[in-house]
Amino acid sequence: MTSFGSYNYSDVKTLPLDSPETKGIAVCKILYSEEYKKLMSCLRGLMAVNELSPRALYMTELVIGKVAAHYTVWLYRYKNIKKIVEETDKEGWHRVLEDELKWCGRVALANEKNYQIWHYREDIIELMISHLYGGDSDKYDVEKEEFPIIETLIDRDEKNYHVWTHRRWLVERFKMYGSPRELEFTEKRLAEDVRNNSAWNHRFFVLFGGKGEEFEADFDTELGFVKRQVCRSPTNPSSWNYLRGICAKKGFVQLKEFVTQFTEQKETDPVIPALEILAEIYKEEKQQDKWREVYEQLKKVDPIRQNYWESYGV
Amino acid sequence: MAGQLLTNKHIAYFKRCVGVLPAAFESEDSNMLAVLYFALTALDLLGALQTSFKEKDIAYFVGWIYAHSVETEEYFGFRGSLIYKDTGIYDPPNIGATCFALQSLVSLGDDLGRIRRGKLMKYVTKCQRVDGSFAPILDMATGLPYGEDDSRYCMMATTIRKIMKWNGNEEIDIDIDRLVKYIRSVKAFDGGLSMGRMCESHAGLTFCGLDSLKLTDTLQKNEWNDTADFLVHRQIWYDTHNKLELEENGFADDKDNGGFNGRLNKYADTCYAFWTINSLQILQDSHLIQREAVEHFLLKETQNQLMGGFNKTSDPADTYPDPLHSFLGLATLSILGYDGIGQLNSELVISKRAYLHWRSIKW
Repeated sequence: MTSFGSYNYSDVKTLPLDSPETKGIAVCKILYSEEYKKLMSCLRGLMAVNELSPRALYMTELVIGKVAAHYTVWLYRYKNIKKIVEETDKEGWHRVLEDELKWCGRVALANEKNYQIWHYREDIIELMISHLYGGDSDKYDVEKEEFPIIETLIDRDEKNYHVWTHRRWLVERFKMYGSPRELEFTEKRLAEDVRNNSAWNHRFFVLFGGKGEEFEADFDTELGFVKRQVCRSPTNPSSWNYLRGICAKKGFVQLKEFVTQFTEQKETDPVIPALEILAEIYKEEKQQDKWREVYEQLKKVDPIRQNYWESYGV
Repeated sequence: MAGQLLTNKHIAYFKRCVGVLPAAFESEDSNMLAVLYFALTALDLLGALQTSFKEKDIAYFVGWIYAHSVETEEYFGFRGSLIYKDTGIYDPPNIGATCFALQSLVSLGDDLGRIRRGKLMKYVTKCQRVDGSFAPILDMATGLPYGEDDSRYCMMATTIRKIMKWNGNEEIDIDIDRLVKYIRSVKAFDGGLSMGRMCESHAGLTFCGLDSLKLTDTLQKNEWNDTADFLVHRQIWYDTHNKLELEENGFADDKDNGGFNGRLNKYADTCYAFWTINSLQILQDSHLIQREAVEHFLLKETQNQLMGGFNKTSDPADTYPDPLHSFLGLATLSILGYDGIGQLNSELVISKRAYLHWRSIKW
């Protein structure tokens, strides 16, 4: 009897992995473990007849547990979930989909760099909204379902690109632009590490990503915030980058006084990103001699980009 | 003094990649066409593709790649692994695998005669989403795109289209206007390209976006000046003027000097030297970076002195090379014109020799 977990697979017509076309060819040949071969031949047998059932769902769990990067296994799992939801009553939906979301969390924890899991999770959230909440996305409890897993993963890797991208998706999907909770989240992360560029970028999205429809950020408050962060660590490229970002439309002249305190320091070297903004200011003011001077200075303090500074006509 | 390129060790490393691999590679099972592409292109750049293999071996490679082809009534392409074969609707062509298969076949001198161009381009066209981006696969049951979207698949879809010499006059084609709109939409506030609208700028995704435009003749240089600024700033240099970073920034290390990071305040990584420099190459701006410093970083810090290949980072805990970083390290040196490495075609990311062969292919 072939069984995995509490399911019996004895009647599945298994499809072994070995392919007749490449028999005898040792190109990129992986020496599969016996366990992997057993799982894959069973999964392949189930997929071949498109069996959608709880035991097929369980098989996808075992295979994704071994190899999360198999691309159609995710599609197969999604089709299984959809079928199970369609065949259960409303109370059953809750259990199935909530279990699925929990499972997604466990897989994400085990595969921090995986692309597919987040796309899949977003599909499951959509399924919950359409089936459990009659299309009303406000009924989905983002704070309870999403924030703990995100916190855990960002605690492990504060710049995990996939996790931040998912958090961004949540802001867009659930219209959380300008949300004090989101802003606090970025502030907490920046308090821990002011160089966390992912946190800066998320803040930018929360404040300015809403295309002006839902929320208008207060520019002066934000300018004050970022200036304080710059002062915490003046050579940190991320906070300067953000400062440039929020000022891009309004121009940089207003930053002149702030910037010069970092370019005319007596005891330490001038701060490179501050010099870069100063050059922009002189350009805006059409003071050509002065901005050339700044680029000359940049050539000295940032020699790795010498060719680049020279390309500005120095 | 930059270190020396360990040519013979690299050749031995890449030859191992195309042979028998331990079970640890199970996690890469869907990516084996990528592994083959990295290894063959690297050997090609080292001038060792013809000398390392007999004609019989080359025929094996070609046969193995074609064993991954999928043909249905409507579509054609390649699957990522033979594990999908015979699974019906769960065995669709994959955009990534198809791209790597075609690039490898060109490098092997194949005439692509067995590729069903019309069916392939129909598949690629169907994988495009309404927003202009591309999905890795179609759900064969519904005929709709399935999977994550980001500019990686835009680059691979447009590479396939270019290799197929599709020129826009055909009945079926991707929507280039929508593709361009999508690529523009993922530019972050600092000029770098990203995973979606206003995501964090990322050098790898920047290359994928710019190359998609280049491959479809829609790259207008003056539209991407801020992108070049973002890219140039990826080269790392810790020195007296920013010594505070070495003290306070957990990601700063002066062993990374000369190398490139993919995002602000990340450590240097072999592959970001490639993504950045090749992006700049496509923008005709690669002279803006410091060549000697990046050569030093690659040859001294990430070139694996024992096994050949390149490690991901300069971290001493990072002791094993992998096919992707090894290929991209070598490809970077090729773009920089390092002596003894063949030229790379930046757009199709194959050797110039393979590119010339591709040009001669006629349908």
